[in-house]
Amino acid sequence: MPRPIVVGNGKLLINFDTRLNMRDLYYPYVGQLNQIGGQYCRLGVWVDGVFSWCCDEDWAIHLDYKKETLVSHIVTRNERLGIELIINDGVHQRDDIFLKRIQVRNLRNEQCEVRVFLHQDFSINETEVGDTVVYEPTLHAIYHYKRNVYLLVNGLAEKEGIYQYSIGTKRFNHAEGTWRDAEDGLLGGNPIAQGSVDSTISFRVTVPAYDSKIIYYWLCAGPDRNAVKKLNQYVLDSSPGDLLDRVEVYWKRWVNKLDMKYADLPEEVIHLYKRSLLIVRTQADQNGAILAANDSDILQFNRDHYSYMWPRDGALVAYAMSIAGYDGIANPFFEFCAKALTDEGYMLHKYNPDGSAGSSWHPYISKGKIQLPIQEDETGLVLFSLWKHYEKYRNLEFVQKLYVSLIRPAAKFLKNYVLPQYQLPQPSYDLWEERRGIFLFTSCTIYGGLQAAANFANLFGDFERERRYAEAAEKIKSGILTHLYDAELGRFVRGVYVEDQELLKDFTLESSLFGIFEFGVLPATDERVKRTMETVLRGLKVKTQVGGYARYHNDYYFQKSQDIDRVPGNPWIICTLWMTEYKIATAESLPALKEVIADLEWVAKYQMSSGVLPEQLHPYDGSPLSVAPLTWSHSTFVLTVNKYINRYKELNQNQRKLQNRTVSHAFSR
Amino acid sequence: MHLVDRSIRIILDHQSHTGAFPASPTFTHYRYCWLRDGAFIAYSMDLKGHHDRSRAFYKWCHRTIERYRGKAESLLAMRLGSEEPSSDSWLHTRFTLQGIESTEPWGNHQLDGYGTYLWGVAQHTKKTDISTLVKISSSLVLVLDYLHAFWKVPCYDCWEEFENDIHPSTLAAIYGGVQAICPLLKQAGIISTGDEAHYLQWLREIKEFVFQFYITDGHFVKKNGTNQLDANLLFLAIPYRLISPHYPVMKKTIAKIEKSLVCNGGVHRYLTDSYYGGGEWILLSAWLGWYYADIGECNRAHELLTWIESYSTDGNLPEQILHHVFYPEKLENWIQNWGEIASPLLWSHAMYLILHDKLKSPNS
Repeated sequence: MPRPIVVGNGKLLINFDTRLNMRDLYYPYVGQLNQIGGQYCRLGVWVDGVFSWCCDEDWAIHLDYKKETLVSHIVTRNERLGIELIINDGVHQRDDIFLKRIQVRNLRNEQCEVRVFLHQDFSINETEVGDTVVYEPTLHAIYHYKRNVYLLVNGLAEKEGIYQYSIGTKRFNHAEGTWRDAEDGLLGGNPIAQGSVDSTISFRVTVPAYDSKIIYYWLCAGPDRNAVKKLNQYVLDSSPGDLLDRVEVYWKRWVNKLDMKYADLPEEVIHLYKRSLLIVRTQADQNGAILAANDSDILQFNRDHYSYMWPRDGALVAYAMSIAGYDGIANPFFEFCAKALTDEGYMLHKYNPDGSAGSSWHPYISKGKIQLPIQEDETGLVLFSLWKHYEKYRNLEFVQKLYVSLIRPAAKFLKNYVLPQYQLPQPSYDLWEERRGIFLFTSCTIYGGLQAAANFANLFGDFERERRYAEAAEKIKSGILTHLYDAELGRFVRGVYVEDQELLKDFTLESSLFGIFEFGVLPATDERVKRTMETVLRGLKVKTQVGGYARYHNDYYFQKSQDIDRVPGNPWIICTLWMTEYKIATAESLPALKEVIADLEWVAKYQMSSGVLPEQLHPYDGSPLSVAPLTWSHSTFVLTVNKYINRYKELNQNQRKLQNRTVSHAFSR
Repeated sequence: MHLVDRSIRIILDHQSHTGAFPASPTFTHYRYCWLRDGAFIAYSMDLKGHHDRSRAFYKWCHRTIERYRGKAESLLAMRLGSEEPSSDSWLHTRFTLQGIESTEPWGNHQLDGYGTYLWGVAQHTKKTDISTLVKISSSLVLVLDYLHAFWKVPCYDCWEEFENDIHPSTLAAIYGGVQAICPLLKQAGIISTGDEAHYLQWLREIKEFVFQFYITDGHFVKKNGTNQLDANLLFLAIPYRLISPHYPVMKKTIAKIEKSLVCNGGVHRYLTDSYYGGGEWILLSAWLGWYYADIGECNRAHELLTWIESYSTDGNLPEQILHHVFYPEKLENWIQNWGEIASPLLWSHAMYLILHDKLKSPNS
């Protein structure tokens, strides 16, 4: 199940599923540690003796955010109970406080008593062993704690605080959890429990006919009791409603900080653009890690998750956010990479948000041969992205610091990790981390990375290194043109495998072939590139009502159809947008460019109601597949929109120049 | 009489007054005319200057296809919608010498023959003039449409086997036929530039398809996802040129074929072939020789030519040489049920003539 509502501040990240259950709470890093671990923290309502959980089917739920903010706007309605809740969730932009406003609307023609139940199922630091939950009467609040993590919950209903609470054992022996206790409308009041524990609290309001009342709930996260106590007091002093309003204002300011001109893009595209900026922000940790995704439901599929920083995803997200004007996300990312780079100069497969190496399945030895367990594009892309960042911001001090710690060692690695007889990079795992070989995408990122390094060396007057890096880049380019292009087919190939001193080509049609122009090896208008991309466009188009483009031919991941001819793979948001980037790069007139808007509208059509984008879509019904939100999907949308706008400006200027010329010609005659 | 003259004589003598070539005049099951065999036989006649015989054959093809136009058109109207066409609704690959479908059960759906028809007409046109092509253009265009609509439908291969697969050899024949005929049809004003572009686009699709599905370990394979070889993979390069004969993947395929399917000069069809025990096919030896002649390795081509000549008995070339068979224990059964191996097989003679001609004038 995807996570249509995510709220966070770069340190605390909270996710809700489509049925309003709080499913993930990451603290003290975005993506690490998951204090809920995908369990269900439920929301329940009791009205004059009748109880219902909001995840039950008789609630009609509409999920959205308040416009241009990271504050949710959820309407959920239960006709049987005659109740509607309007919910706003947000995380304070500075402090680790989650705030929830519940407006309880009585739809009946008589006054009623409503009790709202909130359930906390935390397993602190990802294990329930050794947890404590306690009610502290002087605070009139409940907190879960273990070692250095404290999670305090409290709230207000009118002037009244928590009405009742229940604290107890969950998923152990015969105990399901305290949430069961709520179903009679009353909570037992047990004040403490340890081990595998959970808690439920309730609030009570009396709502006149056709009227509404407001309940606030908040959660404070901190390293010790004093810290959460202070945050709790801060909420009480500032009033939770005012705080939540300020959160709303903050994000409105953030997403509108630049005076963007959106060319002729339609409203829903602009809307999704802003939503994407905000979603990317939630998935980036304040210490620089840009997480791939934080939807823990993927655990059911992989027994591992996406809460890692892949330097590839990170670098491409940083690139998009730099271009969009949000260097606040990119700067710490590059600093993170400088620290994470190995002494040998390469980036590892993936990282935890705290900077440690992430889990991996890439071996150091295969068929008796020692190998590097890397995806080399991840090193190349960091440099490529950093140069794009420099081009935009010209922050010389910033890149000067990174020259020795990141740029030079990484470039040296890229330069040396080659097969000289082919002038190609040595084999590594591909960008989908499925196969090992020498791939076009990877090789192009290495070309781009070495070019970037040469540019930096030039910038710092280090001309000898500039020459070396540029020369290495040119060699890679010639290797690409010689070995990764097939003259017989007239297009580039996915890659080659080195076997018994010979190169075996992989002819699988692959969306990432777009790397040939994206990273500057050849212009998009080159005939070889055109033939390649046109073949990809035809071969990877998903020929169903849903449409879009597949990742590659016969993609097995979450495969939904055996009809490979019509469905070469599920449509992926990023791959579809790469095709759009090609169309943008080759559009030679404004009317031709305008056709591309349909692609952007396509993405908007398949967003979730809250604006969240998944990794893939179901090829027949368009529902989200795999994780959602996927940071890379959002950042690619951001990048593509920017490329569209820039191309629009270029073509517009060309047209004007042309018109002026015609006018002056007319005069001279 | 030299085997060349003898071969020409056999072909000329057995061509029906209708224009049809029987596959073999002495073998019951082969008393029909196949589009595939016939087109190669006609090509050999074109190479040897008997253009009138070739023309008669193509006119026969044209009349025959036009006779069954209704079948093709109703299939095209269906376009493989909800209902699957019945196995007998497809155009047949062989006909009586009068151009009538046979009624005995047979694997009749073989698209490669139709590709070969287009290819053969193009060769005839290049050797003569456009007049025949213009006269028979309606069947050529029908075949183009038919192939375009159904190229991805599994059918029997050129050995009349494996009807549930799509075969690269069949795709090669379609590719070669379409590629050869389109410029001529355009030149004759029968199709437009737009049509031609549309067909060329289709050719790129076919080629991509072959590269996507029929390469394993750096060589072509007969079946997707396996590493099975078949000597008919030769078709990819010769004569259909879906890929260049010099292309590394093709060269590796040839090397593999040499290693596992060739015994001296005799070429087997594929490893599990048990038809008449699975012997060595004359026409494949000639075909392999044609490949070598094309890439300029004439010594090897000569070896193959000589090998064929050494196996002609009374000037006749059979379908197979049973000198080295894969399944000797199965041979007897075939002979009992179907009679002695077909001889002369006109296609064997034609391929011999073609190789002889290519060696006389390489790259023609």
